[in-house]
Amino acid sequence: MNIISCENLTKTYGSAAAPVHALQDVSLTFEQGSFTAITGKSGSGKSTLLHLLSGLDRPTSGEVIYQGKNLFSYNDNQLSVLRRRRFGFVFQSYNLVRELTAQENILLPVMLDGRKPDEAHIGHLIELLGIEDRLSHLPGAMSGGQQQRVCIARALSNKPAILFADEPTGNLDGKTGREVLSLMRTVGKELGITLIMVTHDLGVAEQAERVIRLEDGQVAEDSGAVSI
Amino acid sequence: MKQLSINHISAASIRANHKTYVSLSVGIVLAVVLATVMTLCAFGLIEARERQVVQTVGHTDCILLDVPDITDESLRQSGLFDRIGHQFVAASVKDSNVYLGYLDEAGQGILCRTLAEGRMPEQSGEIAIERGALEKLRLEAEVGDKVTWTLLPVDGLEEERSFTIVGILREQSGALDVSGFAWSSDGVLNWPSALISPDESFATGRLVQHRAMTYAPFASLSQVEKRYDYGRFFGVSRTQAAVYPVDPADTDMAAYTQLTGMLLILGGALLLAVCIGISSAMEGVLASKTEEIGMLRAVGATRRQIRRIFGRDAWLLSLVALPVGLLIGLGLTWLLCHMAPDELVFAPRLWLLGPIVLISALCIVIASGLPLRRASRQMPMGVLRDTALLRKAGSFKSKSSFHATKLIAVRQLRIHPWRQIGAALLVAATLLCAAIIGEQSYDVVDDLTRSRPVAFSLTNQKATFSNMPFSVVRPEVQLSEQDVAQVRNLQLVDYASLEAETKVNMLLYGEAPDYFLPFTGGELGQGTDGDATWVYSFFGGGSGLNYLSISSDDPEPPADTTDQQRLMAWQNYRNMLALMETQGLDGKPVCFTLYATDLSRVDYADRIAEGKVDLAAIDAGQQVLVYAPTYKIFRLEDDMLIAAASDAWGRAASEAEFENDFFHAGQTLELVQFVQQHLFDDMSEEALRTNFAQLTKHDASVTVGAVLNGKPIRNSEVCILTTEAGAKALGFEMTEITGMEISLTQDVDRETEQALQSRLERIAMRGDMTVFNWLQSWREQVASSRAAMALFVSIMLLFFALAVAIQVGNAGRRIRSDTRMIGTLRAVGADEKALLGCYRLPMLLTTFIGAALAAGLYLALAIWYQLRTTLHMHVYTTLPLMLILAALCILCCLAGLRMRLKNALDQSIVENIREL
Repeated sequence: MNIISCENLTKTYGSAAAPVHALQDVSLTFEQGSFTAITGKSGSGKSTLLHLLSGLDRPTSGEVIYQGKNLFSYNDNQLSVLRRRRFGFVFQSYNLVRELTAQENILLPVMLDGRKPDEAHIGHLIELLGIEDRLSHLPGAMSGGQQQRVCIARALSNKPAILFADEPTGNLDGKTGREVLSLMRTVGKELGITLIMVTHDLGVAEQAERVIRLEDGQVAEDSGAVSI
Repeated sequence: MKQLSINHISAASIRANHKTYVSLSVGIVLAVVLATVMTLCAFGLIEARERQVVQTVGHTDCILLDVPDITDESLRQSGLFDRIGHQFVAASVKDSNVYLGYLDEAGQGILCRTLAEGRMPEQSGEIAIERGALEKLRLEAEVGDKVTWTLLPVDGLEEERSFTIVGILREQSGALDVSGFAWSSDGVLNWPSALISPDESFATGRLVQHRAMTYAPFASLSQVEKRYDYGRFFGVSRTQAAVYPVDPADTDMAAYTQLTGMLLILGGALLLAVCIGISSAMEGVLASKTEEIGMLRAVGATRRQIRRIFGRDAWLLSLVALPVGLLIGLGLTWLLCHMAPDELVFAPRLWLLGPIVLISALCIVIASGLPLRRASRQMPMGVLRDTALLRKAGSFKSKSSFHATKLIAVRQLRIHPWRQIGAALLVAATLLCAAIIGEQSYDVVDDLTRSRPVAFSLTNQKATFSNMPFSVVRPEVQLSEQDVAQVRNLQLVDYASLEAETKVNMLLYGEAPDYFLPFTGGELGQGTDGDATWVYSFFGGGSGLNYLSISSDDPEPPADTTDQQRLMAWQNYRNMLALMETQGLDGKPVCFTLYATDLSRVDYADRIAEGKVDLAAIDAGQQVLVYAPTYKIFRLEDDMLIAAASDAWGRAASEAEFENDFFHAGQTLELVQFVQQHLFDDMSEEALRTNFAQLTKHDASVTVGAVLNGKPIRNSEVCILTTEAGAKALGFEMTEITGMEISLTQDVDRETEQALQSRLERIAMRGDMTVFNWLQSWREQVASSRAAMALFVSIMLLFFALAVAIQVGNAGRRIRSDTRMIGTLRAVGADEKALLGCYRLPMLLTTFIGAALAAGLYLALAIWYQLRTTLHMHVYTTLPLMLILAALCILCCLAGLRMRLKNALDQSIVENIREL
């Protein structure tokens, strides 16, 4: 079953005289619960695709359909609600709020939504990610790997339908990278989350069920959707 | 070369980031503008006052009247004087105090005598005269008329002379007249009110030489009096354009301080606001360069170098701002001077550039110094690792349930608690301005609606000095009954009340009570002769009363005593005995001032100590009021003791107190008035006895209706109060008219008002009186209240704008530096409302702190006023006004915040979080 798809997605930067096509007419469909890796060289449009799919950016043309409705027909507030309830996002540079502790960062989407946190779920996440002893630390006092774990916990704290990850292991050493990846997969599987990940690390991509390779903003290769 | 390179870097940085520098440039230009306006206005105020003074008394600082034994040579050698000019006095017009004389060149240079019309006399037989002198002589003469007078050359024989009036002089003799506080038995103390040619010569008599001098730098009357005998020189007050009884330096300084003080307070407050603005703008500039500073520190730049590199921006901007600010400031001052040409003169001087540059530089150094200091203290890795945040982390308690944006806002506030303090101060300043406007508006409304019964008043503050217990009739310097009648008969004059005084004596039988003798209090100290120290007292209309302390058993003072008070007391005692004998009196005459005024206009509310005021009985001459204050004895700087009514000398602790234990309501006073019809020429004991026998005597018996105490009346001495009708009914002559209050039958136009004023002025000159136009003063008061309101409103708006701009600017800067956090929050689902929450809290808190500060100060002041004074403030209207303004401030800040946030929200989240 499709959870999210895009049609003729195009993103152009720069002026009309000298346009830079980051993405050109990309149409894709993602199955619920699948793990997709988007790969490609630098500048191939991987991150742009991820940003458009997750509604963090608006396309020049084209649509992203989530639950039968174009994401960009939502207004800013509706999109915000969608992001905090249905999507999770893991950034390459973690993007934790520096004034909040690890625990507070993890609870951020739930708190923004004004809901009571599911303590069992969050406790489980924290345990799984092994950051119990870092909960009261500010991001500035944590290592990159620890920050990335907090970032993952934050992305999963609201039990999202889709987890978008942009080079989640890019800033980590090989061992930590592998650990983080395996964690994401484990939790994703546990919760039935669709995982769409951008990476240029072929080793990481190999673990995915589906690999989409982009080249000059277009799909060069798609290993096809595979149901779990 | 090194210097040049820093300049180049700064200039390039300013060019590249000119938008960041806009607020800093505006702040610096404003500082220069304010420094310019403040300096020029302070100087302009003093200059305007000085120009007005020069029109009356020229450049004179000090005068020396008819003292031949002090030579010009000695004066020059003293080093106390800069210039010495001479005013020669040749003669006086018989039966008047109009004196004739001429000036030498230096005298004219100092006294600056000017003409209202005509020219100066050039040859014998010509005269230029003051309008007031003509009025005193009751002459309706004009330029070109011929006058013939009997002249009395000084110490010579009278002779008749004719003059052609060639010019009308501007008034000066009144301002330099010392007769109110000095007397001389042989010298001439009068200043000429008419100028004749130096060629005019008199067969007999001597030529009197008065001198007008300007001080050498830093000299004053006190220094002159230390060098020469006390009481021979008289100081000229440069703020009052008049001879002053004591050294006017302190009074002048106080007046100048008051004159410029308000301006300095206002200017200071504005400069402070601008400093906060500059500081905030500098903070902004430096915030945008945090990485650059971190990098420079990392490659080894010292704190000093950081301060120099980034402070150079401010200095380069100042170089450009100085001429711009100067020009704007000059323009503004010019405008202000044209709005109030009488109070303010546009007089830019090159040397004023010094204080202007100094004040501006000080503002810029202090205002930009603090942010520079903070920035230069930053550790190289501080930027990357949020060291400030981590230092505070210990005090953050991790929460499991929270309002996300509020928590972020609170944490940011805790990291930089002082970031908003400038804005809070400005909010407080804005609200305090609003409070002033609120309070002031009551005064304006009050001014506009108050009834104005008095249109003009005539005043003469100069009392005639005499230690004799009787008054002298001096028609040559007094308004006559005809003059008063003339005023009363003027068209449109509805009512003209008279204020007049004379000396009357209460006959005292038996010993004088302590209350009359504060000047002999033995416990207050010892005099030079082992006697009690004398207390100088205003009590009883001069020092003539001190004979009361000498009982008939008292021995004569020792022949070699140098105690002048003791000698005077002895002389007065003997005069008193002679007076009693020649007039056949039983009791001792105790002299008081009888003061006749329109008692229906005197406010007794908190003055009545005993009895009640029955105006009908007073008018009928059956009752009088007695003002009998509690005397306090104060020790002055030179150990002189002085007695004064309760609050007249409130500056020092009193040594003793004397409360009225003599006068009471219902008491019958036996009063006797002696009137002397001409001045005594011969003061020998024999001549005095003859003169005493010739005094006109009026006596009356009257009941004390009420005894008054408290706030001073007249000179804060014991006095007897009655009305004009009361004095007449008692049969007393009012020998000195000190004032008149005139009300009109209807409102008049300006032209009529002007005509009335000039008519009154000419009558007033006959009695050395000045006319005060209350109608004009009221108009000026309303205009100045309005100007003050406009000024405060503009200042308030400036503060308001600055408070909002700084808060919005701070928020804008934070939003810029928080862009990534904003992106992150948006990515995890924060909407616009939630993001607003992050930045709204500091604004609310800042405004709240400012408002609390202002309201606290205002309320404290209101309470103080309530407790300490009779005035009260309008808390119930002013406080809501302040609150409304605070709310408006918040609304404006929020609107600005929304705009700033909208810029960030208009970007996509990806742009927000994109790493640089």
